[in-house]
Amino acid sequence: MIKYFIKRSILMVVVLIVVITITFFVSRCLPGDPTALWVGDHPTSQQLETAREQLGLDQPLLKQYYSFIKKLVRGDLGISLRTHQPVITELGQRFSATFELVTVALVLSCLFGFPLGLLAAMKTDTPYDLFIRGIGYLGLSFPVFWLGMILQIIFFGKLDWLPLQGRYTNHIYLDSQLIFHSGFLLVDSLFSGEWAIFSDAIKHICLPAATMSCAVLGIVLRTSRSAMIDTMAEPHFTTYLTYGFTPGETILRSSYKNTLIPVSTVVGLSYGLLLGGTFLVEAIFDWPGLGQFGVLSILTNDFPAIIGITFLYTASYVVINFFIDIIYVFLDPRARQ
Amino acid sequence: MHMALQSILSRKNAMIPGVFLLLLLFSSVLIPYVSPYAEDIRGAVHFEAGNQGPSLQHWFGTDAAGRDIFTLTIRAGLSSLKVALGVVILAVLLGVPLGLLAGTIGRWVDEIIMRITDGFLAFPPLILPLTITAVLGPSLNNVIIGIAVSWFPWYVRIARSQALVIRSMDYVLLSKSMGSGNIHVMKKHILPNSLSPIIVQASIDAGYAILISAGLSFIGLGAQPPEAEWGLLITQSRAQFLNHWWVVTFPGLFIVGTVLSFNMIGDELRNVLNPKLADQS
Repeated sequence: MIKYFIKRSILMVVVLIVVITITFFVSRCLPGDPTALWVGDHPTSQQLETAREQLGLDQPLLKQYYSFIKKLVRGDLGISLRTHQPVITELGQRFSATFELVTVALVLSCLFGFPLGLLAAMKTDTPYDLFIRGIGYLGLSFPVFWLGMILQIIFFGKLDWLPLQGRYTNHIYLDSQLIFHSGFLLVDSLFSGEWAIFSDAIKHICLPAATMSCAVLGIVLRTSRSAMIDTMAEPHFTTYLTYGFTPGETILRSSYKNTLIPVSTVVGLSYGLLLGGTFLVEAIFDWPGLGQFGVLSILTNDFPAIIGITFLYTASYVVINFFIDIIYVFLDPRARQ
Repeated sequence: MHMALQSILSRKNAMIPGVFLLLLLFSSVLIPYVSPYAEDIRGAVHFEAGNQGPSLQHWFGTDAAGRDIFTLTIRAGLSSLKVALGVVILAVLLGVPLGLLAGTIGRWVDEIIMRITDGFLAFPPLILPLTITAVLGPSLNNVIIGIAVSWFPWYVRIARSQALVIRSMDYVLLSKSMGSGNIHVMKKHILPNSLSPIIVQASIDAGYAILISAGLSFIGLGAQPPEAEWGLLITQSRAQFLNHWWVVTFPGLFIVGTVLSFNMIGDELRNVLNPKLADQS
């Protein structure tokens, strides 16, 4: 087990190094001159020269690469060209909003996707199964930005049940007295006992979380269904049936465990899908997180910020999948040997 | 291959999406010659006809600038099909040779190539295409490059895994013992055998390429006005979409239809070309 852990850790470090290298080359070797952005319009050649020195672009490529890694290890992602704040500070302020949204979306998709997928496996080729598979298919084909806008039209425009955008209503937020300040609004308001802001935050997170969970729901549905079908074909399942257990009982008490490994794999991979989706969903719902910051950075050619978000997202994606690899060991006794 | 084509066309699940895609292709090419609102494609505006709901004159309604949404939506199909084709071709051209090389030569060449692909695959979907396109500058061609560079590792993996299986087959060993080199083996034996999984992957990727390029166009990185592109059409109408549902709904439905079509064709292709994998969908 220790060996497995070490092997996984080494693999993760190797992947991270390659990721850093790719990010570096994307930011340095592709066309588009960062110095031009640094100094603004109509620079003199003198200004360009100074800027090149400031940004370290007059150094040989290998030396630039070295200092890029050195800064990264210290958590220095450079200065945002747009806000003139350190990128890491900007990202830190917005991290919790995005993390909250992504987590709620992921929990929602597992909460619905997993049981529905198992149910579909029990009733293969019935209309119910076809319906569930249809949802799985559609969920993967919906553009998230479009789905978000359609939900806004229905639930805000026509029905007026939910707020259009944002993370909270300003006056409710200002009136509330939060004792906890972790940045995770749902958690903070819950533990502070501030029900007004808690229910307000719930209402605000409904639409963006539902939008994001759509694609992941489809993936979880399909995976849990096909994993369950495979399990039901195994001898141990038939044995239970001959003991007189119904398929439902067998799945609930034991067989669902066999689907946990493939499902946890796709949950790990879905994290990436959700992180990518934040760029579109946060832009639509005016959600004050990393994705919205990323879109603003793109529109203003703020390259240090773009590279910073790319690196932060990819690193968290790699680390999350590392932990899922570790969780396998607890889910599957066979992996412990 | 010919038989596979015949049997795929006889399947309903592949025929309906196939017909849909072909119709979209033809109509998007022909629409400038048939539509009475053809000049809208080149950026004409008629503010007096703006914000009309769907009617007999304007099937999908008009946007704030009075442009006919139906004409633009159909025309946008061409951009999306171009992206799909471009991404798939570029990704195959980048990925397959590397995969064949890794699988056939093996050893340290394999190790280096695979670790590099691991790095590319470690980026969350959308993030790498987004970053590359942002650095290259916003345009539909750069979106194609961005997506293809992010996805070529999948083709490396497919070609490599095929090469690993086939390079130890008896007939390949025989061919090698008779003096044929690696290049010959790759070209004559491994490449033809890798075609079917590559085609399956390509048809599914084509759909997702359209989805991603629409997303990138939506945040301003892809197609630029007055180009017609679904994501761009939707983002252009964001200012007042709550009162004018049609400007958002119809282009989006076309994205869903196209992506769904490519997905269904890909799944059917997999069933036909590789029955062993059919249950895994």
